[in-house]
Amino acid sequence: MRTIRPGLVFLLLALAGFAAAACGGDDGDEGGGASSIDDYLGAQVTPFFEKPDLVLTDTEGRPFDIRKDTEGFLTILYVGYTHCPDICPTTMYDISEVLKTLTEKQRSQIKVVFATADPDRDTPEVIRKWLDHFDTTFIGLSGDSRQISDLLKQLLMGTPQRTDLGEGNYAVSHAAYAIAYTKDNTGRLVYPFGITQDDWKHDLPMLVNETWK
Amino acid sequence: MDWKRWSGLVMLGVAAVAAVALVACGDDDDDDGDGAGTASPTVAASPTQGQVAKLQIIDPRARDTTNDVSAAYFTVKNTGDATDRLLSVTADVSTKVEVHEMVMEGGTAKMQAVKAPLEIPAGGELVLKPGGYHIMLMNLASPLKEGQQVKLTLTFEKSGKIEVTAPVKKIEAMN
Ligand SMILES: [Cu+2]
Repeated sequence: MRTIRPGLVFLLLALAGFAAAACGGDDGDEGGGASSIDDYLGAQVTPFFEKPDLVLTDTEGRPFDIRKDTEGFLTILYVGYTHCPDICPTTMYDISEVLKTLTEKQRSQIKVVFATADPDRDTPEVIRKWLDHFDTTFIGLSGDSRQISDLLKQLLMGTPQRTDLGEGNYAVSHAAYAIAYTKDNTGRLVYPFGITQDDWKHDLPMLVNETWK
Repeated sequence: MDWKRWSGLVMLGVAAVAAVALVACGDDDDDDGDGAGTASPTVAASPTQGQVAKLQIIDPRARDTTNDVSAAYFTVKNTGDATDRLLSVTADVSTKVEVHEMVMEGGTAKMQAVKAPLEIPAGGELVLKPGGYHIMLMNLASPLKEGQQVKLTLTFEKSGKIEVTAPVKKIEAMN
């Protein structure tokens, strides 16, 4: 069955739907979410994720209450680090490109939140510079190491492991998926690495209107 | 069912469907030496008892970045009849270059240097792409900007050194 213990992620890719999306089928602007969670290309998580109950610091240095400040928005949350050369920038770039294809109305209902797993290097300024590279509206969150481990604990993501790369360089382990919290504040779908722009294009317009009814 | 198995399956599925979609949408195949930025030098190694690795480097590219680390990618095709290995890489923009892999453990991504030189089997290919293998460029003197060119020197066990020019661009999960 499509259930799995928390923290692990089960991936379902409806390949037929994927192929259709790849050839540019467009979804309408209006009309609620999907008729079933199976219509999404994201991976289903059971039980669903709650939004972290935590206040971090945004890139302007202001407190950011993850629950309160994303209330009412489709919220895409990704945890990574700016010195990640591979999957983090790929994920942020793919999301930023797909957002450009949405209507203004759809776009205005989405918040993309990046939280760092590497608070030692990722200051608010460093994160801002990096995010602006993709989309100036992306929200970037940092905090002290205790706050970040609290965040990761709430997300069932585990402690970041450092891999020394020499000469002061190091890699940081982090979750290889973005979590989509719909407007009801539940995170039932995650988007693991390997998800393409076409997959996002397929899901986002439905997610914006999703109520899981 | 663990993450690894599933992501493996998905990657296979994605590749298969992408191939189908490509045909269905009527995109044509790349040919050698088309558009700018595709360097495809072919180097034949000196034969060792008739065994030759014939390598072609396809679509070298490097990621634009805002800081002092970046990644480069390419595909190595071996049309010869001997396996070759990628021993090392240098770059004109970086003093510290390594061949890296992303390892997925239960939904967690971990980046590390490869444990052994990557192989390009006879008649096969080695693909470097996001989420798999990449050339890690560290200690960049300045961030890589779109439009810039990075010169990579790849050293292979049999084929020796091959130089390629990798244009700096934005890189997505599938291309
Ligand atoms: Cu790396």
